[in-house]
Amino acid sequence: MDTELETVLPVYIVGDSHSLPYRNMVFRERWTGAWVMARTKYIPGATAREFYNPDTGEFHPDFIAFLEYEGLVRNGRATHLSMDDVDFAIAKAAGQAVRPPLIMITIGEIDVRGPILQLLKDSHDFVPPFATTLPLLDKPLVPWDLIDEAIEARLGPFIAGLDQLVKAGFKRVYVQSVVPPTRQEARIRELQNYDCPVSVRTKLVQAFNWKLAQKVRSVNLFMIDRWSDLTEGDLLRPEFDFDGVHLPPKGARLLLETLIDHAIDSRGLVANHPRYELYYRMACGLDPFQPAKPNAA
Amino acid sequence: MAVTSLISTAKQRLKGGVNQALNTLGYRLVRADTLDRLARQSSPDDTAGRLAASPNGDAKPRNLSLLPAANAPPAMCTAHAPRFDPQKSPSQLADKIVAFQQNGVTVISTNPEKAAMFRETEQFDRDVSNRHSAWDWAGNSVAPYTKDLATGLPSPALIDYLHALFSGGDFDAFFRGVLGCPAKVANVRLVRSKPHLTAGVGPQEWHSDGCPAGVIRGVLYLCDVDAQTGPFQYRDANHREHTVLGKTGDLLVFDATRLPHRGSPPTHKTRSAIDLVFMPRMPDEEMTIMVVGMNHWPADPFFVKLPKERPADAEDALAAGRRSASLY
Repeated sequence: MDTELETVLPVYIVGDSHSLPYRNMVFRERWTGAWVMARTKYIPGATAREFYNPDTGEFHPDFIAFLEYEGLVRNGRATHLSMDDVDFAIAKAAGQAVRPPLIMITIGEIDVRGPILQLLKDSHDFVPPFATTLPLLDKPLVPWDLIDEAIEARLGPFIAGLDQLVKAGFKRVYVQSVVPPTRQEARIRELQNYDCPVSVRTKLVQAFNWKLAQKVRSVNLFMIDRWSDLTEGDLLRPEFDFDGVHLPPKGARLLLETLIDHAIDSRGLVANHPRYELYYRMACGLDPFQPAKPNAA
Repeated sequence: MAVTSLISTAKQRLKGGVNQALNTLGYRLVRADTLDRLARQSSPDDTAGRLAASPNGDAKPRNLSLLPAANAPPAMCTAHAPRFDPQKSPSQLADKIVAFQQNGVTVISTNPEKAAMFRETEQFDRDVSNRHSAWDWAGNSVAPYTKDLATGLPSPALIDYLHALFSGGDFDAFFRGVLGCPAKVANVRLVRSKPHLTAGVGPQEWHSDGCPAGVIRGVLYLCDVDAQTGPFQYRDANHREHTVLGKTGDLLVFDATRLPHRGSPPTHKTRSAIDLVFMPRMPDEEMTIMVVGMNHWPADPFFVKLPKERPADAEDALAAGRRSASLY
């Protein structure tokens, strides 16, 4: 019996606990009708600052472990771009097209809620360098430069890591924006052991995302954001206020759909040039694993 | 200098001798700082996470770095074609193979009556939206990017004609000459360029296609193409601009990565043509002609699955969905 085999489109989602709402998520995307499946990895306590060490060139061990487990990396190399006969045999056995994987990283919320929010607590407010509908409270102001510096310190290593990912051949990587914070002040007191008004917390997340979007774009990647759909008056809509930290799965799905919408129109990146080279060599009767000497006119 | 060297050699020999003697008793001399380093490595701190057990039980450091890897198109797409010698491999299209190898482009005359007939009978009834979007194919955006181009899917009669044309001995020899291997058609689509005086977009802008290795392009003119009909233009290695006028039935074959090119915007007359993508074919593989709409080439040449067409009535729903999706 000859039946058509259908495979899913995996989206690899890795990072802090904001990767959890995607766990076991599957849905049919609207462009081709393909099944999308989230393959997730929760790295406890993952922060932007510790994602990558620019001094050693090393990534967080759990991040590399995830890429290895999913077969995206072997011996420090992106397997989808490998011209190695072992990776070729693996691809042949899998029997599916080898294309650059779609990856989304969820990171940054701990950086915001940890060291950066400490600068403000219940005692200060700040003025961001962009328009916001959130009020300015009658509190002493922390200069934007200080906030900016604190965000830079957290984002610097992360962006350096993204740059390395791109250089390693992972060009279809997305970064999830930090989700709007809860409106529940009691939950924040419970989490942080101090108060901080929702307008200040939300504005800080806006500022972090504002910088994150620019920096992610600077390495030719994209940030996934649905702020206007998740908020009302720039504050988190009650229907998305789940456990005081995370989006519910229906909110996470909105973000994943945005990734799909972008990726379907970025298919210039899907061509696998190393595998075309192997294929071309084989068609010409050359040994695909021995680099051939170009001899055309 | 010589004395220092002598002392060093003597120390090495002494250490080697003592080690040899201790080795028989199951011991070994190790410097104190080396011992410290080894002790640090085996301590249960975060370094432990970097050690992975190998199958034989030894611990080896885990590689937490990623090595650079390129996924870039080649500078030219026909690098493995041997230098063509018309004396050794006589062919009706030998001069065209030589021209392609020299310039990256050549023009081959095909049946003008057939081309004129297909110009009248084929349906150019679509815009440039991609209704064949597929995760395994490189291709255009879902939404149309211009109204100056109309496209269409080839009829079965046209597909049969092209199949017979490219399976023939002349073209088989031609592709073996320019590519070094047989070719198949990775896509065929009808393209009609409407006259306009505005700047061209998409294929009417100067660009290189970034084709993968072994992939070359073709344009079969279905009408006479003069300066006002938007002729094909390309720039050679010395950046000189060339314009290729043509007659109905002329087939341009070119290396779309090696040569920056465009279909110049037609100013006064409509240009009708067939857009073709050729890719390598394994020697034991049958000639095939794939029809994949606004897509270019498969992501992975080893596993090719033809994309399905999205129904036209899904377009409105898709457009509505697209409006609500936005990046930051």
